Amino acid sequence: MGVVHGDLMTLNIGPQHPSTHGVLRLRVKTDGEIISEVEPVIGYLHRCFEKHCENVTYEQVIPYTDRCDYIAAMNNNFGYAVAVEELMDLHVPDRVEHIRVIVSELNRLASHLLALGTFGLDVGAFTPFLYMFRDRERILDLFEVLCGARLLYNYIWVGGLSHDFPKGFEEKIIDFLDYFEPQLDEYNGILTYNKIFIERTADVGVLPAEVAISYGVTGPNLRGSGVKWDLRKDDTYSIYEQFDFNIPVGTGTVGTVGDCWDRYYVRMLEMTESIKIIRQAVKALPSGDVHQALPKKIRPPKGSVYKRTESPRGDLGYYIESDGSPVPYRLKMRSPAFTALSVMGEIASGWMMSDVLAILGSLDIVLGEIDR
Amino acid sequence: MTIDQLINWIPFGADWPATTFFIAVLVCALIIFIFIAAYALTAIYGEVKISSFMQDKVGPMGQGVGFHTGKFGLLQPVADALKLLLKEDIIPALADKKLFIMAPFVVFIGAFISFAALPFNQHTIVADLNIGIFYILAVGSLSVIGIILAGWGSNNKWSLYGGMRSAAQIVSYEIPAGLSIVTVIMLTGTLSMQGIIEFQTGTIWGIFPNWIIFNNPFSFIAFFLFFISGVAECNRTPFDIPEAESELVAGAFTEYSGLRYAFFFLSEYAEMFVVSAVATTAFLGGWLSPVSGYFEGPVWGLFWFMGKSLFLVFVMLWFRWTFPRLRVDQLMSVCWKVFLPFTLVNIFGVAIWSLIVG
Amino acid sequence: MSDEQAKLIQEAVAKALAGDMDMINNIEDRVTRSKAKAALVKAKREAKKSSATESEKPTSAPPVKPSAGDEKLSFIDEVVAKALAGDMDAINNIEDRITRSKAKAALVKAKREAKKAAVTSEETPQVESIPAEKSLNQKVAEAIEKKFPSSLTGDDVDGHIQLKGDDWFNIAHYLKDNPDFLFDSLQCITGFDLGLENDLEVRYNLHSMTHNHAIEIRIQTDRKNPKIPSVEQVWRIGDWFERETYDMYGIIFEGHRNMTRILLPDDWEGWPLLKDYEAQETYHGIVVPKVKEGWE
Repeated sequence: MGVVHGDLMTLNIGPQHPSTHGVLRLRVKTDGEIISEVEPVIGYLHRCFEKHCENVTYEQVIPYTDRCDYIAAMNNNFGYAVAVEELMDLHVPDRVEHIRVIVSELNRLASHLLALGTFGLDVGAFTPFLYMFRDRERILDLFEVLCGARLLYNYIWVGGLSHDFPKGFEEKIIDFLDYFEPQLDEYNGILTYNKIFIERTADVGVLPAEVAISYGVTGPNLRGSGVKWDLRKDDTYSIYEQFDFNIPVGTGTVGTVGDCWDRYYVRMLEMTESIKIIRQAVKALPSGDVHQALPKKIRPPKGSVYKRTESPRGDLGYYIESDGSPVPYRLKMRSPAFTALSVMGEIASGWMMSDVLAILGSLDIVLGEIDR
Repeated sequence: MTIDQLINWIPFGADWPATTFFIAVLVCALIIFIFIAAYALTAIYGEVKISSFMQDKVGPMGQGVGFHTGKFGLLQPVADALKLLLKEDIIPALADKKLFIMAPFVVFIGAFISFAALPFNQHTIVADLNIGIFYILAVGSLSVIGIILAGWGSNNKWSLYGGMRSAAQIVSYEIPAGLSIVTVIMLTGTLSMQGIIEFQTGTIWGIFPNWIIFNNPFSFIAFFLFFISGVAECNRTPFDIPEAESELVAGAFTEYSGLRYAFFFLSEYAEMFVVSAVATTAFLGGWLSPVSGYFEGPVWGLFWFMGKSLFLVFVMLWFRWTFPRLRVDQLMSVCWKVFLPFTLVNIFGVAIWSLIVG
Repeated sequence: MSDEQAKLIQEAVAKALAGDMDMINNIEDRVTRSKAKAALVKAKREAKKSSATESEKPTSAPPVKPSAGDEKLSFIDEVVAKALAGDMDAINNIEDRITRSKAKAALVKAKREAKKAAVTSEETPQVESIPAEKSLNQKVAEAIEKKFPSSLTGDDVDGHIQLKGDDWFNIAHYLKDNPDFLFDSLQCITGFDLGLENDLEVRYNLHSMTHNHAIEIRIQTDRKNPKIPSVEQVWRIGDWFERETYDMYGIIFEGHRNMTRILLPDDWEGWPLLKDYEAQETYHGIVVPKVKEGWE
């Protein structure tokens, strides 16, 4: 029997498409349902972040970092603040460190909830998405109480914070965690162990560890491939070494190590760890003035720094070069979603149309951060 | 009320038989159309509200100042319908206009004419055909032609994908659905809808209603096979791959707007009802009361029929808001590798069961 | 204000002037604390004024008792001297925050002066701390020098290695595969404009997952004709990072299989992150806004 070869059809998934998580365009070559080639085309959301940074002062950069990864703005603020502080050799009070950890872990919860919810949506499960958004909403409400903003906080400043915790905020956080922890079981019940969900995600889009490292994939995506690597532990910053938490890795419970389900489940487990960290941090929260170490003027000495922090999407690096003026000479953001998306072409080829979107969803990209 | 009775009522029936027949058909069509519209509005409201309860939200609510959507959002479906009617009707410049315009109506006709053979109660059936269930299965697959027309005529890659997927899916699932019905027909020995229901009167051991689903283990399985195949034929989650919104935008319906889209919408809901009604008739005793000898009569009959059918519609909604979506190859392998062998075994099983027990 | 409070504030201010800020900071009541701080500021200002007037007439002034402030100053001098000699612990061990930061500032100043001095007169000995063990940078640099002679330019003063571009592809391979280093992860590629008169530079941040260490490599290239060998096939992420650098700086990575713009449209003109970049007037008939007043 001869083999029938049809022509390949070029299909643009995006820039306007329900499950591209922003304005991403995937140029795919398809043979019927089978996708033979995937090429991500990015840049639709390019807002000249790095050029902006060369024209504004160090303080003014912070709101821009918010807008890069708008899903986890606290973590972006955090990474930037840590980088500039290292450049200035500035040490912040203990209370500030604790609050930073608390808010960035809360933001990690919110970000993971969104990632998992939209991933569920990508494979067609609508209800878990709304459950997760319901709980994410509570975190955003907490942030609203904290700093008035729901998405773009501008909260973590170089040398301190914009506000201290309001009165009774610690109790609110603990109340939320007490409410939230049992919800994880609900998610597991409705989505994680759903037979159809496992069928759709197990063994799909396997990302081997060495490919992941070569492509610079980091964060939950790398851990999903079984690599135990978390900057909070391995290249610790702030006060993360004081807390007791585990690094969950993908084990191939239902399929192969590094498949979509593993990447999904690592995030699910990470939420438990984040809850642990927040509980410890709230318990150990010292008193003090959060504005104490705020520099009057940020004028780092000449030099450069490359500082990585663990954002919900992976290694968020800031390369900052200072020429001694109040304006950064060069600021480069190494965004984890950028590297995660670059692996799409490698792992998504050869799968079916539905799988490609599942793989894309499992990588948890934010286009604001990719295009900057 | 069958159509024959209607013809007899019309006073000038004897003089102008053709006109009379035409008028009678029109009246029936009008009644069915009104029924479908009313049912669709209810179903949309139900879908919105039920999904809200399942998803921990309130859904449409008539709160605050102004008209809004009435108490509990009861007017929401009306607002939806009005919106769809008033929307601009867009036909893409490069679309194949004839096919594009025709498609929604073809889809709707498939669902619409199925209603002609649905027995709402002891007397209410437009035409009690002697091949009733066969007729419904036959016209039910008309909708696939419409969807392919829509997919091709839109001149859009997503639509084409949706159309092709839909064709593959509906044609495949016709087979297990049809074969499941064969088990019923083997037991009842009739294709007439009323005949199938009448077969189910009485009780088993004086307790259970003598419905086909309880008749023997094979028909019990056949019910689930038929219902799930029916869900797949309606393109509902978890089998909604032809319009998978996260993959194909809206599949075959991507380019449609306004009234034409409303017709697709309407026929989807109508088809859900038809599938539920057929499942009710063939397996759940149609308009028969679950307690034999009680709650019988035309009004109760209508109640039982609608109750059972709408319950199955509710189950479909329940599916939709609970399950993720299958992939197209998984969908096919479920059909051909699981359902088909099971239905074939069922047929043999029922045959042997009839020989031994019945 | 109650008498007690007033007394407390007076006491705290006196102590603070003597260098002990703890007392003020430990006041529990917010209002009292802030009042005390205000009083402290006032007191300091007055002290300054008086010292200024005193310096005007030095003859009549009695020998001023060395105040706590002076003591601190001499202490700082001492510490700075130590730090310059390589013992940073002396500074870092200072408990009082303010003193520490002051000392650091003084250190920076001293270093700067030292550098200036070094430039003007070469006889001045370089004050540089020499670590006992070889740093990773030195190790890597030595290894590169051994394997690829004369590809190193400059030393690893600021914690980076400066390379010539010619052999970069092979060096990259070597760094990735050498079991001592195993830099299997390319963290970041940063394009860099060293100034209008100078070259362009590309900075690579390498990291090893196995050894958990990191280095930074810098390669300069001509501004007029910027070209650097591509490492896309060494680290696959180099693909997109290099495209991004090309997009922003126009640096061509030789050997890259798809050297096209990534973030900007393919037909965009110019290289936006160059310091002398001028945006094009129109793009497909759309005016590119350039007036800064609106948003700056």
